[in-house]
Amino acid sequence: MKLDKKVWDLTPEVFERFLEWLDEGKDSDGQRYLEMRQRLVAYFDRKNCISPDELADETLNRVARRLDEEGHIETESPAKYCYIVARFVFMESLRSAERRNVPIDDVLMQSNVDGLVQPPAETEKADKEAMIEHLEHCMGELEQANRDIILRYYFGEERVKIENRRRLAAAFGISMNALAIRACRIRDKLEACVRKCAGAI
Amino acid sequence: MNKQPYAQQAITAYLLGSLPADEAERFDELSFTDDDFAAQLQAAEKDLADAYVNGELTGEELRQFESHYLASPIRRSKVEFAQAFQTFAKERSEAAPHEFPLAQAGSKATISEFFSNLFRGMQVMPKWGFALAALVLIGVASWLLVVSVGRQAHVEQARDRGPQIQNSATEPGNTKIEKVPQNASNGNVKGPEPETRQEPTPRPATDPAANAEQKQPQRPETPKSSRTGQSAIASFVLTPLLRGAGQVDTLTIPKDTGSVDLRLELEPNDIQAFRVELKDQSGRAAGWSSGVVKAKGAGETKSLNIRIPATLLRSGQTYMLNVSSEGKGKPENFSNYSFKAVVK
Repeated sequence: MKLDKKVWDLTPEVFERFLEWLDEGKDSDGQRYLEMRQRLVAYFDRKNCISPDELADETLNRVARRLDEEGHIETESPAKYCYIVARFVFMESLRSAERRNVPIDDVLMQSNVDGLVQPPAETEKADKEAMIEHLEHCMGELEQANRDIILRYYFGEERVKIENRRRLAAAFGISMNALAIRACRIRDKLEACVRKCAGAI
Repeated sequence: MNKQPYAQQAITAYLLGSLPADEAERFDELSFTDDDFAAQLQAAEKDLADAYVNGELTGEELRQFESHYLASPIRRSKVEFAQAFQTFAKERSEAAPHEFPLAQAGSKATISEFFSNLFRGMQVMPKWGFALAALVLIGVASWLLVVSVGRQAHVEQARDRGPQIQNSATEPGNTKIEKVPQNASNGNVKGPEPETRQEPTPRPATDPAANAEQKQPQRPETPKSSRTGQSAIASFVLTPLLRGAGQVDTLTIPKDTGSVDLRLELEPNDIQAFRVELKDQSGRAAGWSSGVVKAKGAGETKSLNIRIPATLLRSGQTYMLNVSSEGKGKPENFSNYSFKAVVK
């Protein structure tokens, strides 16, 4: 899966073509790309890689380059190909760590210094309070129906939660699966808003 | 798109890094290629973080969560968000409980409460529509009453014929009638195959009154009981463990109970047949397993009906019902149901 080392640039035209290829004929307005990137980050994160974002971008760049240089890619689906490339990128990240005599554990985050150092309790408390303030603001940005869904869906003890979800699905006339997906998306949106607020301060 | 459902337990194990390597690799691929799986994975991860924040994780799962899941800064930040969100939601519900009425543990929904919750939040519901629904319910209830009376008469007739059947069984050359022992004290007795068993009081799946009663939080103080023939049957409904050990239902079983009927509510799936095995709390077989059991209902309201001899359940012991999918290929663990038996 190694590509020629010559300089290659991800131009807007190449990127546009890459988006079309990912969309498989259905114009998703870039959503498919964002989804794929999110899945890549989650994949590398589950593998406990130190820099999941960088590895995700590396994977997407390689796929886009291959598409640009060869014109087409023979594969079951774009998603499957992205996964295949991701596996190579992951294995390479492990091998390159071995060549540099870096212990695998250090590459894979078990001894990640950031993870070992616990912030003081007061800082944690302040961070949590700030996050709750941002939540208040971001909840206000949601539509009423979505506010209802996210509060009813995620709040409560285990059994109460199950009952709430069944009632919610019945009230909205949708399946439990559809409700789960919808609630998940609202929560992702809320979380992104909260982080944006936190980053802006 | 692959419509195969994925067992919640397997997904949780995958997130905790405890799945065998070949299965984990399969899930790795599915997380890219199967949109349904990817969505289920994301939802499961959020539920797992919430469970940790709410103190619902215990034992090995808790250990794995803290040692493996929390090793990643990205995942730690998700847990931080979950903590803040749960605190925020709790404060909100305490400050303004009328804004989103939630089910309370142990509460029983009345029919009127069920309907008022069902229609709350909907944009338009003409009053005549509600009246029409009420009329349909009355019609269905009347039909059920007629059917029930007819069945009762049939049972009475069969009971009257009982001694004649027994007597004829003792005569040589007659058809042998097989009786299932109700009071076996041997813990290794295998239970009867329940494939064709019907629920004691069947109701149409579309009956909201039945659904409202049957979908209550699962901590029954007094079981439904009925008598058939010589011994009592206690009935309970169990919901699957969301993750790990968590809360365990306590089933209070009257002393003279011969059999325990259990309805196991299933998570949404497209599987038609299952097997159920009773295990003790250390995971050893506890002397009962079903044959192939077909799921009742459809879509989001599927369930399994099983009957366990009450004599197998020792008072004070905790048991696990392990449900695995049955079909082509290797059986896969689908769901677990945990309960503690108390015989009084």
